[in-house]
Amino acid sequence: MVARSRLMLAGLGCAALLTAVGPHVSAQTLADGSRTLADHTPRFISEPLRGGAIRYDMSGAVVLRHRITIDLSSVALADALNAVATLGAFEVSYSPDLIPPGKLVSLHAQGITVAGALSELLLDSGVDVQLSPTGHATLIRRYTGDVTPLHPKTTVSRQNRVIQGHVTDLKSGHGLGDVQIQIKGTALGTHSLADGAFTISLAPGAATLVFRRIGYQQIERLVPPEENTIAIAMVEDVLKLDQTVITGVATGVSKRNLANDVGTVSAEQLTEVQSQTVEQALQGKIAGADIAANSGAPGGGMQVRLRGTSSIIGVSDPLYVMDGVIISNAAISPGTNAITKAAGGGQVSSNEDNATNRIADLDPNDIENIEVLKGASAAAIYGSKAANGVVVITTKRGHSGSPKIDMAQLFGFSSLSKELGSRTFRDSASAVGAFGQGAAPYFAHGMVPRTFNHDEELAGHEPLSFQTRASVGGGTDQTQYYASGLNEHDGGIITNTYFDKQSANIKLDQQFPLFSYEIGSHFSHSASGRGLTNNDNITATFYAAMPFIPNFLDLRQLPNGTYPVNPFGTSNPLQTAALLHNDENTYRYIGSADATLNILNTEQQRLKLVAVGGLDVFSQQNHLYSPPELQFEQAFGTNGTSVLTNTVNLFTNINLALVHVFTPRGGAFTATTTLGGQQETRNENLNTGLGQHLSGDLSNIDKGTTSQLFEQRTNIVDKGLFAQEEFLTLNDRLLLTAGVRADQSSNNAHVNTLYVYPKGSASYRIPLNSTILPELKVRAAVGESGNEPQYGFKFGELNSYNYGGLPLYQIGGQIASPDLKPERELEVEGGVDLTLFKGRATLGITGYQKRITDLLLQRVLPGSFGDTIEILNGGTLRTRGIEVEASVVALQGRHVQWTIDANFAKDASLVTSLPVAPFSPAGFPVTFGAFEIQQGKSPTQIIGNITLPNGTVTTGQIGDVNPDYKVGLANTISVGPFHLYFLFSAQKGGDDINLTELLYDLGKNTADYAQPMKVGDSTVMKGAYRVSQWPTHTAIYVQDASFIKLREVTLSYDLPIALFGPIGRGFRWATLSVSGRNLYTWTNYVGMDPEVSNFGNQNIARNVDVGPFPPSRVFWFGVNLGF
Amino acid sequence: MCRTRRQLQRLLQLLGVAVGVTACADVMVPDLNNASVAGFQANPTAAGANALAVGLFRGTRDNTAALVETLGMFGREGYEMSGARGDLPLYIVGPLTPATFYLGWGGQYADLRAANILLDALGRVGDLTAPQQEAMRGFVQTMEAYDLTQIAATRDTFGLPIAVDVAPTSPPAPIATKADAYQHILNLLDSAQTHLQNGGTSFSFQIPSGFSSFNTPATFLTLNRALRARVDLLLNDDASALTDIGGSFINPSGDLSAGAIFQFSNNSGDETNPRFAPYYYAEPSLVTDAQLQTGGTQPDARVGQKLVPVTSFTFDGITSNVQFTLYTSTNSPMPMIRNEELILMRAEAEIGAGLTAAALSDINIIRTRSGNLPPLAAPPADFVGELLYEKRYSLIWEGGKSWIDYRQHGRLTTLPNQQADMRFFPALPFPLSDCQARSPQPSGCGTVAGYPANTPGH
Repeated sequence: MVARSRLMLAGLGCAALLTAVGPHVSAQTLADGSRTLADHTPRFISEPLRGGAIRYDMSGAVVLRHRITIDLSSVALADALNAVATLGAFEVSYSPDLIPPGKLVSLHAQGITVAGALSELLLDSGVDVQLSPTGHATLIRRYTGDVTPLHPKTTVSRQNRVIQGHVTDLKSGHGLGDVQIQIKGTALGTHSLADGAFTISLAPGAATLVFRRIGYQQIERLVPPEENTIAIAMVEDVLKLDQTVITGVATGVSKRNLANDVGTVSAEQLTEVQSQTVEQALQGKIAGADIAANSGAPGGGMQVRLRGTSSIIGVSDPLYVMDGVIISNAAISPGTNAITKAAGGGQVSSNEDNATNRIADLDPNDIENIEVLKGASAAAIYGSKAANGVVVITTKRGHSGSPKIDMAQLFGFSSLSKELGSRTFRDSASAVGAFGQGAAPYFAHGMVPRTFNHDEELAGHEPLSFQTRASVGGGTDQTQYYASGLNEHDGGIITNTYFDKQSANIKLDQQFPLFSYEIGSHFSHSASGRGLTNNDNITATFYAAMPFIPNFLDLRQLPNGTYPVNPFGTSNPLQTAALLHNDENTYRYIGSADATLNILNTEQQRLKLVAVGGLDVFSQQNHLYSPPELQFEQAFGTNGTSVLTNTVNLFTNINLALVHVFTPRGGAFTATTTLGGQQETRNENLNTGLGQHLSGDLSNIDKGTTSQLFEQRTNIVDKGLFAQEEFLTLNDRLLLTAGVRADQSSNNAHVNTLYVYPKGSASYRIPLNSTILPELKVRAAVGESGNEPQYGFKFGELNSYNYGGLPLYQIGGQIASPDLKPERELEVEGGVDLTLFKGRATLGITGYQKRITDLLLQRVLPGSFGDTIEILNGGTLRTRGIEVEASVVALQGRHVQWTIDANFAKDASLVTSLPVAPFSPAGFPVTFGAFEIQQGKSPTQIIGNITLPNGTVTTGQIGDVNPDYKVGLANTISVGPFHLYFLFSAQKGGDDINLTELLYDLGKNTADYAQPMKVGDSTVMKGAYRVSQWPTHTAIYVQDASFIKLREVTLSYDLPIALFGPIGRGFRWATLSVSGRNLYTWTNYVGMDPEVSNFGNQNIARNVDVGPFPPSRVFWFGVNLGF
Repeated sequence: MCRTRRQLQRLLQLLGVAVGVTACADVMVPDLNNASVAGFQANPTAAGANALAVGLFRGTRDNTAALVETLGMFGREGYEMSGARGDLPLYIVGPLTPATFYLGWGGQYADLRAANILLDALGRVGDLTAPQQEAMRGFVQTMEAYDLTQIAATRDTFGLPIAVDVAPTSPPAPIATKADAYQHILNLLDSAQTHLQNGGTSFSFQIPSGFSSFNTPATFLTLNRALRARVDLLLNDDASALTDIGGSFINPSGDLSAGAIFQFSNNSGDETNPRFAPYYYAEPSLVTDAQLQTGGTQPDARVGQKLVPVTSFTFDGITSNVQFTLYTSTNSPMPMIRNEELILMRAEAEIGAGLTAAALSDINIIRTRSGNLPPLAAPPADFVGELLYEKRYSLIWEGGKSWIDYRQHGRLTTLPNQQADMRFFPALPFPLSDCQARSPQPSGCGTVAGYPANTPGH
């Protein structure tokens, strides 16, 4: 009976000890509630320190946390203690009169800690265990005095000097929690508690402590031998000099030492102005990140290009990694091609359908920071998917301390920022000249008809937008949590366009002495209505129809609820906007888990096993409903079109890594070794149903008398191995890194071949000991990464269709590629980083060259071959660029702070070798301005027809979409409770292909069509001249896209908390703000917006303007509360 | 020490787990969306062969529908007046260059590649009998000839590649001269004739309902001969044309619309008629230039059957108040070749062969039955002009017959012309992909500027 009760108790005690031995033990109550565990169990305490009686709780000591497996049946207590000591590799001594050494005891336990085993054996014996700094254990009669708790995160070993300290924020004077305090030259350290207090044990003699905290400048403090208390005031790191940047799967280094120019954006920078999507929040903030909206449609559709062109037909997006999980940025067509036939009939989807991309599901407010690894030299550890760079997103998590709640409520609206206008006709003759005899009645009896502003009627809506969000975070030293929720509605400027988002996040972090894990759960629902825009072959999209509608035609809804028939075309855009629904709903779950097992933790060595992984699953439904009464549905006899697309997407990935950190005694260097593997799957299954000739008002696809079904599947399996060594030495001044990654992928022709990507980098901080320029860092990095073929690239296919119900095969167009492999990018990067004026200013200059070999190319087969393309590897693309980032804290006073951040980037790409004939990877034919890959030319060049002086027409380069350079400039000014922030972004050069203007000119309806202009000696009408030049002089519609945009502005005011009286007691802060996005654009580009891409996210064929969704200005008014 | 060693062991075990996840496991994922060419070639089945054969109906249907529009504009039958497409000037002003698009070529050669994949494997299709294989060969070669005729007719003197069954890495097929190309087409049709004659009584694959008159090897041969007669006329070989028409399905007293008809449908996986769209307008002079019906007030009955007046519309220099009524829905059928054309082809051959009375008789069949026009008592002075009139009105918007016929008789530039800068193109250039693959550049890779209206000899 006794033994059994002991065993039961052992189980309980063991659990308690595992989680919280020490200060919390006394709080544990037995099941019967009569006595506490402390009355039974021995305590683990330190030897009394010199000159005092203070004893410390040693239950967190490494030696006690060691796990043993023990199997003792009825042995003497003395033998049992020896057995535990042997297994735990320590010595134990005691006076025989303290315990009955011959008492028979039993203990059966697997993986019990030494502390647990000792507690079990010494239960109710009235002794405590006193540990010496060397780990020697002495049993003593129960000590009755106080035991001072050591911080449980403190690692105790060979220390006999305890420092009590307090960290505060210099600015506010408040205590600062979560400060990492490390004994320099060792791996030992602790963290400050929420109130800023910390305790750390030091060896005798002087020691240097290093204080680090995200958002604060690192501080090193020499603690003299006799000093046992320390107060530290940390200064906010406005310029983020000491940010830790992720450099591997489970490792990171301080930005101070980083050998690559990694773009980092913090939560504050991301959320100065409310943004719909993460990419929008990044625009203009990172040198070398070219981020552009494909149109003004609400709900995303943006492309991110890091350091110029990296691929021609490979994946164009960077890799997105959120909390260690590779997440999808799929852009799934809503199926508008079924109506617009933009890419021809017979298919429901095309890349001209103005799709959203799924990064839109993330809530920028949930992001703690974003690191942008711009090229192979930084991103090589991500292997064959990293050639376009990697966007590493870290979301917010809880911090220990009392719960902190943040709430925000915003209201806003969007408003059309540019009207194209149209030609105004003063007489019948010119109207008939443009629109035929049908225009004559409008000018009957010599009257000049009333005109209408169709832009305004279509896109002049300013519906209310709102956003409500709240988050709460907090926790104990062992357990932290964070939860947040968002409800957002953005009204669109066109009827039936909107973007809604709801999201909920839960984060749970738990630390045990040896083991910790972090779990993140992100759920979101995104919904958008996108209208009908972009290229079109039936004149149904808004701005494909508008060029052919005179402004004297009244398109507005009639009193009977119907819309006027447009006699000059086949659609009335106001009717289309009012009745057509293009709705998208996405339900998405991203789950991430990060588990760390600390295998070894000594003064010199730390070894941990890190498992990071998760899944990204979403279900997206697009429902496009074009009801039968729409004019074009009747004109084209389709009598109602309904397209329902369901997509199920599942990404999974898991990384396992062993991370070993070695610091020799004396701290000459720190070597971090990572070794690991990754497995990843990507599945996407897309089902589309199309119904036409709909009956009644039902939009169900099966309610049509005709229907089409489509299914497209994608399945990719990738595996990789990686190893990385980071070597930090010379007083943390020199960082050397080397790494290698080997990947295999089902997308390669040889699925079992490992493709190897090495990298190496070095950085050195040169101490200059000048007050102006205290430090200069030089850095260089080189690395390789890949861009694997897309799914389906390697197959030679026969397409299956039917003819009158008879099944058939036709040539698929692409022949098989039996040796297809990933593209390979070699990037060399070098630069200098200057820290000036005691950290008040920084300047970073980076130059890089990317050389992409084994490019994925299309060999255009002669049309007479029958199949049209072969995808193969070959050729070389070179991209060179320079990036400059500068930050200045212009003013930093007690009530005033003014920070200026500027970035500049310039890149140029060149196809240096091309083993296939020039080809056009996407876009329109030459007459409209084509994209052609040619050796010796920029890959983003635009070619078109050129008429030579002798009249012959030839084809050649007439432009390039790549800008000459891009600039971002942000100012952040705080004066007392006021905060003003504004961001400009600008681009010089780069061309847009303005086919919207061509459409207006073809309609003889451009606003400036009839304006006179001189050509030689004659006076012609501007629009007539332009269209007369086309198509033999394509450049007439290839136009400079330089711009300066006032991207973000916010003005906020921190309300004095005292104002609220007693109600405000719980408030940490309350802020009112007014903000705006894309408020003004200075440009000579005559189209709606120089940021445009008819073909969506593309490596090459960007900046094509064909009736895009019009751009808008966005305004917000908000209240933010923290308590 | 003991402890360190144990930890080292554990470390190695964990590393083993890490590596085990990734150690060179097979990650093969097949093509989940389509059948593969290599799969058919390795294991040719009757089902695969039949599917490839039926695919030729779809391919030729697409190609024909494309020519209705492209050649229809070249021959001033009608215009695609769509602002959204924005390419009307390419068709009526030009110039035509290899880089211009919508130039029917790839579709025809895709059919040829499918045909060659099928023919190469056909002997190995174990579950088809020898006669079934023969019937399929005859069918496939006939369809190949139909595709090649479209390319030959549009490229005319430029010639065209014919020996296209080459490896993708080989140099492209050489450009055959116009004469060699047509001879190749005739050989194909004659070879097909032999195979069809050895092809037993039925095809192994189903024939679509629009081809129900040709659903046996024997009846399909009458279509083969009809198509051969078209080639004969392009070669001005009137005697052969008369012979071949004799072997065709011509029936002067029968339904003029009977023949080989491409059908469209709204079924899933099928296609709708792409020429059913509201932006096609007819050349308005088709109404004003029409002869008057018997009675002398109404225009040619074919005008009322095929055209409808609409509100006048002007676009890009073209004005029209007439639209087509040929394709009134998404599944309106489109002829490949029909009885009415065969009667007119016979008249054309008879004129060429000097058989004036027979020609007049055939012309009058069409005039009276199709146009409700008074029969001609005697051949008019410009008998060719009369023939071209009848062919234009009988075959309007069916595949660019006006452009081919008027060019064939040197009268291309007499077709209507609304704007001075509009041009008539005698031939289409080769597409860019075939030009880039060849050195030196063949003549088909130049720019075709075209001729202004009323240029003598064109």
